[in-house]
Amino acid sequence: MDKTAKRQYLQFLITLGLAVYLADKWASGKLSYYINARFFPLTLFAVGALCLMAAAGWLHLAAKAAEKQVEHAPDKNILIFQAFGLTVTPVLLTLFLPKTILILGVYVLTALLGWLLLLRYFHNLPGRPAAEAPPRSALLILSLPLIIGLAAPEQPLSSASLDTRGISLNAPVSISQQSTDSLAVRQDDRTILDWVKLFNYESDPSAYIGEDVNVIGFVYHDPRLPQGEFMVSRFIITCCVADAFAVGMTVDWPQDVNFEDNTWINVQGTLDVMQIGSQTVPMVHAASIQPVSAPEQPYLYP
Amino acid sequence: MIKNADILFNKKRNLRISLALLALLAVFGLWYQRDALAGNLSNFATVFLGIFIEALPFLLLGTLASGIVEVFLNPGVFDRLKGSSPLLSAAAGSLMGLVFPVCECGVVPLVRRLYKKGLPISSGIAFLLAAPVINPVVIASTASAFGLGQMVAMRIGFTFLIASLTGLVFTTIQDPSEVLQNGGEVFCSVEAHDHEHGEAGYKNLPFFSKIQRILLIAMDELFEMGRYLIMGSLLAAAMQTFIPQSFLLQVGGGPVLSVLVMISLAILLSVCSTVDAFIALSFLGTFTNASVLAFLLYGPMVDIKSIMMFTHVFKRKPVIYLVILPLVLVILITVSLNYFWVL
Repeated sequence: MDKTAKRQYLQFLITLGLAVYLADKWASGKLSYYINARFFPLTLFAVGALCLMAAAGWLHLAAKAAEKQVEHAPDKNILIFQAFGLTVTPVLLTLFLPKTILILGVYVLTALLGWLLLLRYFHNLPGRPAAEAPPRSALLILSLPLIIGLAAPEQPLSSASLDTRGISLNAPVSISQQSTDSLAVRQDDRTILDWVKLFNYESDPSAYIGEDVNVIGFVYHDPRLPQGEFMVSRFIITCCVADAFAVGMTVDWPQDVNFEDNTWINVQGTLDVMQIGSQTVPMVHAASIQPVSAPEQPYLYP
Repeated sequence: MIKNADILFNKKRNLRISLALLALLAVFGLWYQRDALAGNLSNFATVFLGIFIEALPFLLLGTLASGIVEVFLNPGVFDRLKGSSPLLSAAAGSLMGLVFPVCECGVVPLVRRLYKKGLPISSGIAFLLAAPVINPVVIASTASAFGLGQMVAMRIGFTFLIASLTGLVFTTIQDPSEVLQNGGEVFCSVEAHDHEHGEAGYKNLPFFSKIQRILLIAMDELFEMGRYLIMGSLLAAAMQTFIPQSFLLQVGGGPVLSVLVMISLAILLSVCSTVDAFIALSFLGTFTNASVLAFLLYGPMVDIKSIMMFTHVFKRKPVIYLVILPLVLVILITVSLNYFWVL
């Protein structure tokens, strides 16, 4: 097997691998760890485009092989069938079997099958100049997202990033939502973001003192807060985690149970108001705090 | 001298410099945040994958558009533009985004392909800078974030102005090989394989072969440009994870300083122009309107990943022009707005 064909085969594999990776993220719901849900259709478009590219790449390789060994030239329909099977099957399986090991298995099998098919055709080809295939650096770098994606734990952004990001006391809203939309949300359903927004756009938030609060968020011990108080916070993302910022409500929890940073909790209590610097911010006098598992959509969308 | 500099400024060297820079940043970051390292590494991976997953569809759109241009556009299509006045061809370039709606990831491969089809250099430069803003998708997203008003008008108007002016600077250059690396050659398995068919070869191909050709060109360009997208995303993720943003925001005030802070943020965040309006919103309370405008003007033209892609496609001098000229213009415009414009 010559160098060019090898690289083109790797290019095919990486393209297919990216499609499988993205399809798997979407199928398992983990895509929401990375981007805002309204961009999911774009990711699905990318899966489709990558599959088509991989299929075209496979057809090209197979046709090139057939050209060189006319006596073994396979039927064109068979080639198309192979390309379809090799590219679409792993992605379809991914959608129905969102289990990493299974996907890896299917992917490796596809790769081996492709390799065997190629070996059959490329057995005695003379070497071709390497410039025709993607350079090695491109192959290496394009496989980085796959390597990082598989090696790194699938985790939403954690409170550790607050050390560099800081926690925001304002909530941004677009012009269309600048009214007190948050009031339209049933009080029990109000998220941390709804409460913070309310405080930004209400001239006198003290009117809400005493209202019931029921929110889910993760624990963050803000250095600006006194002992016995901490923040229950959520990350807000507009497009992807790169633009994430955190908002939070101060929790006053007299019972001396120390929650670690990044623990997900459900806080129930009543609303109060406090000052941090010149900002008036919401505070919860907690009646109960329950540790909960992280929500499926860890971030809130403005 | 210039030729020597260009040889020094080659792809391999750029790649090595970026790698070294990345390593340096990583070392600095590790040292700076040695305690909270474990949590930060997983955050680094999450942010990197976030930027990559978000930007990939847009890069794919650009490379597919480039493939379509290569296969379906006749080489002579820009001849009329070539004969027209420099002002007109630069202005036309600025508005071409309305026809090719791509963002800053997709525009770089597309513009190189258009040069191959005979687009004048000045139009191409103007297109490169303006297309990420002056296209239907971005105009719609800016309007939905800020409402149809001054902000949208200023974003479009000033982008048009800056892109056209920068394009005009390149008017005297006629030959693409003066600004492009390797004279604009694209590594492409298909083209090299079929070069005996020549340019006219696409016309006689059956429809499905044309589609396959488009897909192969797009895949090759994905691998060529994707490198820079990934390096840029790694760099941006490293900077975000290991260097505190909060201190930038604390620098905040002042008519000049606030503009500089917002421009640095635009470069640092490296978000796609199709969504940056929503991000800019979150700064409205903290910064003046004109500084937010600076973010909206400069971010789509230049950020970490686009600089990486520029250096791959263009020679050194054009890259410096592409980064510095818009920077100076954006600073001039928005700082004076900071003094005279109160929204």
